[in-house]
Amino acid sequence: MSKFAILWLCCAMMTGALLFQTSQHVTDGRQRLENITAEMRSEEDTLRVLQAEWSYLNQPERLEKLAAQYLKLAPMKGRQFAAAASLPLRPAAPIAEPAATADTFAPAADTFVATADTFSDANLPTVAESMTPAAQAAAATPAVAVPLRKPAGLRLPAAYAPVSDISAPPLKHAAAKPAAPAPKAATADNANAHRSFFDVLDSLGSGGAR
Amino acid sequence: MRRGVTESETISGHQTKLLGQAKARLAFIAVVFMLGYLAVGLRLADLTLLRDVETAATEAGAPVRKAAAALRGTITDRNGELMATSLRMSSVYADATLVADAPALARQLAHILPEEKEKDILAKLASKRKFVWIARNITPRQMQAINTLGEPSLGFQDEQKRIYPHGRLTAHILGYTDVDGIGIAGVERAYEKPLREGEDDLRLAVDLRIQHLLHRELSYAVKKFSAKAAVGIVMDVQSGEIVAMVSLPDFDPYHPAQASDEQKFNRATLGVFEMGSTMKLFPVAAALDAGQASFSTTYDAREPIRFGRHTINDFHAKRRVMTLPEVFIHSSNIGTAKMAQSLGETGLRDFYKKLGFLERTPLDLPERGAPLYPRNWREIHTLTASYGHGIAISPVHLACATAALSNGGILVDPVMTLDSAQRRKTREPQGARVVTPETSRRIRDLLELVVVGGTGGKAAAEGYGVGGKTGTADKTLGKGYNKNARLSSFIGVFPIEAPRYTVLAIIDEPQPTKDTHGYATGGWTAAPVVGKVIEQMAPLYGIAPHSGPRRDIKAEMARYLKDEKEGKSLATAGVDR
Repeated sequence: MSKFAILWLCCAMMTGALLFQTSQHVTDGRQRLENITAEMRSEEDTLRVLQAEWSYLNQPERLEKLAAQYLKLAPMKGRQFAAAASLPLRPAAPIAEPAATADTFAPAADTFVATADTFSDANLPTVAESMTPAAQAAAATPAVAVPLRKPAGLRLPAAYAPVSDISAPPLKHAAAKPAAPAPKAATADNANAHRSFFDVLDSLGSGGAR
Repeated sequence: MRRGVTESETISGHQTKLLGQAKARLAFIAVVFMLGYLAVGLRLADLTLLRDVETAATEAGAPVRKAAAALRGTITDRNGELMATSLRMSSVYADATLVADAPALARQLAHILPEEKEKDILAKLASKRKFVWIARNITPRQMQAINTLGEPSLGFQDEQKRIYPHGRLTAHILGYTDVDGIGIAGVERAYEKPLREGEDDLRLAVDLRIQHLLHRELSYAVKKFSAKAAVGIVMDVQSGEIVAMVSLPDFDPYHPAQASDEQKFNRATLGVFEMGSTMKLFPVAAALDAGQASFSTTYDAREPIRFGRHTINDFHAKRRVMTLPEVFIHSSNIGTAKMAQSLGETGLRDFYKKLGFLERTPLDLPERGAPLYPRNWREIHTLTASYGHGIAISPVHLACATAALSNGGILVDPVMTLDSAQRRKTREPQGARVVTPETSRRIRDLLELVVVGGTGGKAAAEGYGVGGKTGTADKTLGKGYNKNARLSSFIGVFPIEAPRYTVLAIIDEPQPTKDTHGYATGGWTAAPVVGKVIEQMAPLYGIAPHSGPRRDIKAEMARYLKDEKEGKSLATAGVDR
């Protein structure tokens, strides 16, 4: 009889020990979960701040100012598109490929590759009765973006030169867009005039303190 | 004794029976308990020896994500660009009963919080109240500085702050929230519930790039013509999605309380206006659709119409008989009124009802203006409503109806959000048919004619086929109309061959300038805005300009146009009433 009791006692002690260990484990686990959750929350908050700042820095108006100041690019115009069919064929004699073209004007170089069937499509009639934008998109494919302005330090292939019907007066930077500043007015301090995102956050502080 | 023996025997037999029963019961209970303990033991062994706590917790569905308190949901534009988000910020409060040295603490706090006046802080600290806000939404830097003061009477509380990274640009679309973060205007209010629950991003149909283009061009026009206000809408004619929507003047969404009512008024959706000649599109469409008229139908515009006390006259009277296309491009009030008359007493009213002009638009914004029109519709109302007087609708109404006439005849509901996947999948317009595809084609011809050879010449975008209609309405002043306060508008559609977008610009009270030769009509003020917006947005959307020979709409329509035969130019400035 007492043997049996000892056995039970042992069992109970073992179970108790295991139980204690488990509860410790759970407490530890809960603590870690809390830490991780807090960390996640803080990371999420940081992420939100960064996303907000990124969006703030990407304000179209700001980008427009910066682009006018630092880039030699202007908004694309309708006349800069031309149908592949309206381009002259390449001269038979091999012409010297300027090495710089590929990099500096990658989009133009890419779109210049026109296959036989896009050429046949290019003679599209302009009156499209179909209302589906899909048809419109199909009509858009054969068009080729042709660079108008010769970028500094870049020789254009000879084939571009004689195309008279797509040559247009050089784009004036600010003329087309009234809100954009004249390039000369855009100086370094002009860019700094844009408040930093954290100035904006600071200015929100205590706005409604009551 | 025998009896006793028998008794004892009987008793002992009985006892044995009872004992046996008790033992059986005990054994049963013991087994039950043992099974119970065994189950606990097995589970314990399972949890401790066999499995990880993490796995068990995950299986139990522990709310790991839910633990982070939900911030109000973010709003993005159609390309996923952030338009509104909420940031966690701290506010500092004081228990004024614990403050030992109020003046010293006030001085320190005023140093850390430059926006607060030392005097105000001191008043709060000396108030003896248990809870008083010192400053809301302080920056992390300020929080750190206050923490280092080690002042036991000060405490922090986490709060949310709504951030609009694009500020004024999206003010009228998004609206704003109150101090407790509850949306009280615009999209913030329309989608209050999903935003409060903060589950997913709310994606709008608005494209920030187009929004900026429209905002920039309208602001320029307002400045140039010293106008009072302006409205602009860009809408997808197939899906009804509002791609851009501007109402000027606008306001700083961070400080809506400081903005005037004039600034907070969303003219694009809440404002209703007598649109003037842009409305002529609709009686013309109604007449063509009802078979009451064709391009060769003529209208006698030699004499003004006298109707009771009213006289209907043309702004630049041609004083001759005109064909339907001539009535449209010269914007003859007399001709349009006669056309509407031919539809019968309530013909035009019924058509306006079909276009939704007699009720609020179904747009998903809380600010939607109710149209104004005569409850008791008589013939005179048919006449005046044909050229846009005596009926006031919101700019969204106008854009929707124009979209319906140009997209093949389907009236699509305007919508701010990009949620419905169904809309995206089916590119065919979904809605009620208002005119036949044939009428829609005729309307597109007329719209193109106005831009190619009529009053809308300034809306022409290089390389793109644009159609549209100008409008200039005198604003009401008390009981009469004010000749010098105008509402100049232009509604454009492009590409006119297969329309995708409609662009509306309305300039409120533009003043003529030297450049415009003294005109402040829709053709001079609003049409250039539309032209510039189209010119810039078309390449962004990869819409190819037309290539090769273009159809000459003027030549095609020449037989309906007397002026062309006589070799006169149609582009007579200022005809666009």
